[in-house]
Amino acid sequence: MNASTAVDTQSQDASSARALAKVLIARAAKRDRSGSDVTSATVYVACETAYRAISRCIGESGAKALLSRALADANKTHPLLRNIRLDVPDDTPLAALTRASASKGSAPSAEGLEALLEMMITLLARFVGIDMVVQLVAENATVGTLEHEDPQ
Amino acid sequence: MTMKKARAKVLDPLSNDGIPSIASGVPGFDAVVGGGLPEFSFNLIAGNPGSGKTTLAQQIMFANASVKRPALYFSVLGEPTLKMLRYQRGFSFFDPRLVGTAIQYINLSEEALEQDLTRMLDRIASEVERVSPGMVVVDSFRTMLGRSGDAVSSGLTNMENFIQRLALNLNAWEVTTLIIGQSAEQDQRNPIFTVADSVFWLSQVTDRNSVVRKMQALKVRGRSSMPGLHTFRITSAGLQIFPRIPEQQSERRPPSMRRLSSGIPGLDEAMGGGVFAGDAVLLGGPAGSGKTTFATQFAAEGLRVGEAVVIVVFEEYPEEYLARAKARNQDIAAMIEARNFRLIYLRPLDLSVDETAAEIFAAVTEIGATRVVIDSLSGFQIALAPAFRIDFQESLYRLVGALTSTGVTIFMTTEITSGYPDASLTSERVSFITDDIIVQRFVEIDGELRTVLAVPKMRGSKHSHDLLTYIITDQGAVVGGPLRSYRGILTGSPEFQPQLARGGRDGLTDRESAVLETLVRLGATSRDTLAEHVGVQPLELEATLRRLALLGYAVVTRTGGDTYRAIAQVET
Repeated sequence: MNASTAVDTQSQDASSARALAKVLIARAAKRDRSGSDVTSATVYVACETAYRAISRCIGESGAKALLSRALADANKTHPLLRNIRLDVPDDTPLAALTRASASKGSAPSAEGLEALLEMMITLLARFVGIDMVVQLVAENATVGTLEHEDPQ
Repeated sequence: MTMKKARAKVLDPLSNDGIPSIASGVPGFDAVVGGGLPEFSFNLIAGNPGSGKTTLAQQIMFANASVKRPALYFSVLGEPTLKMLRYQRGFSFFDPRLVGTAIQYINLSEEALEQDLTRMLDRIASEVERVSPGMVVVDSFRTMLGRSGDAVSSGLTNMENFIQRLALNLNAWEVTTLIIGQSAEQDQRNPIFTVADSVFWLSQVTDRNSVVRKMQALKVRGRSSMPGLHTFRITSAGLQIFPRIPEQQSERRPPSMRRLSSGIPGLDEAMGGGVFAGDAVLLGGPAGSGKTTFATQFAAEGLRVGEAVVIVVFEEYPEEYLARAKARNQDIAAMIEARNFRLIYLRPLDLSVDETAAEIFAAVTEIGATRVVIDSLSGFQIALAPAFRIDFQESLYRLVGALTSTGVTIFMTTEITSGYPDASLTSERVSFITDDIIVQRFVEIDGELRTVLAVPKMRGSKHSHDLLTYIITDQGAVVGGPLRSYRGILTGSPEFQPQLARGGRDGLTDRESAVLETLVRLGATSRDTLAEHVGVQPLELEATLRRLALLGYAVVTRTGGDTYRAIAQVET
């Protein structure tokens, strides 16, 4: 893969990660019936769903490591995320996200959490490909949205 | 999303023991196991790191998982799941679309780190209950039990207890289980070897510069598995196992009475009328003696009469080999295009005989070949990994036996390197495998290098005991008659003995000499007239006249019917 192809692939992955994050948030919104008004609580639910799915597959330690890296990358563009601390003893990553979703007003929190979710998906996709992330995180609910073909 | 196809297959609805078998999806694996994994069995895949355990388990899982009967893959400690997925997805069997639905990856590292086996067992049980999988993989067993292998848990007193409960639990849910282990051989006293229905051992052996992978079915409960070590290769398609060719279980089929033409003028007569169908023929000779020419003529003759042919080459590149074959056998190009021909080119230096055999069998089956040419055994031996060269004789015996038992006629060449006067007629190490043996030699006569051959062995048939001359012409090899006037031919420097001359011409049979004499006497004449003077039927003269023409003793003119004439230098 040359540099140009690598950039294209990364760009496609980022775009797909964004789409997948949107799908997860839409699913969460549908579940809590918040309609088009996406709150930080809704995005938190999407993050929680993704985190739990990832954690189930790669383990709690692996998921936490991935979240830490995603947080480090995402807070460059969303300073609000700097308040999230994953290294607090007896605290879980999800509890830290819950607190973040409840602070600084709903809209900025929602934006920050969405960026975090997107980054987590992007990082995961770099390892195993966006197609497998779709399967791991969203399973079949997003297949139609991301234009996946039916196997066999 | 709907999965249209239930991927699990039942190979044999009810095997001998009444238990359905599951197709593994791994080429060669089911043959070794004795028909596939028994349904709901508890299986151990053991071996050293890097031997292919995880890939084998994944391959079986992907071949069998469906949305209706998913597979659960429990990772414990060791290779991080993300990395495992990253590498495994490089295999063609790995279908990412099945992940998350038909195949679910579950990580048990937290439970394992706490060495809480009860919690681990509870987690496995709850996931199995929730998903109701058809298959469960646990990767790996050793890490599940901790480094020491001891079960340290409040609810479980020892490892045996844990394994027993795990097996019972999964069995109760009608799950086929694959446990991946990293057991060393001394661990075979480990209770899992007792509990497991099947134990598969993967290993890789380094010998000089080559690495050879082998699999052994140490135990397969309720199945007649294939004993021994089976080589396997890991490619982008996953594992492919090359089962050892089974020893012939029954008596060799009755010898065929049908003779095949070798396609080499004069050789069939020397062999008593041609090669018996289903025979293994060995042609030995020094470098440059025309072994490949003989072999390709044998193949071309098969194609000419409508048989399908496989040629296996090791030394020459296929393009060069075919170009030479086409130059000498002008019809062969069209015959090759007719799709009843395969050329297998094998040159890697880490082959196993079983892998080669698998290639040959696949080609033979695909085109229904009845002739196989192996050119040459010398190249074949060199292409093998060093570890297999020791077993070459035994492996070749199995290969030849398996092929000929199906009625395939094999023509093999081998290089004889020993010099005169100690040259043996055949390579002792392989001659016992063959039914028929032809040996070529160079001899020096009057300062000229000439070629002779002999047929020292022809199972179940009379054959020539003469040392016969042969030449390689533009159209291929032609076998002539004996060198009657010479003694000590096998020394390589025969002596002319005028008193031994019996009126025939050197290099011609008695009949050929008689026909040539008549032709000289009559001048240009038709076949029928010649036959009348010689006292044989015209058709019987066909082969004789063809050989006389190819050997340069006669020419044929095709104007107003075939006319034959002895050429000038012979007439004098």
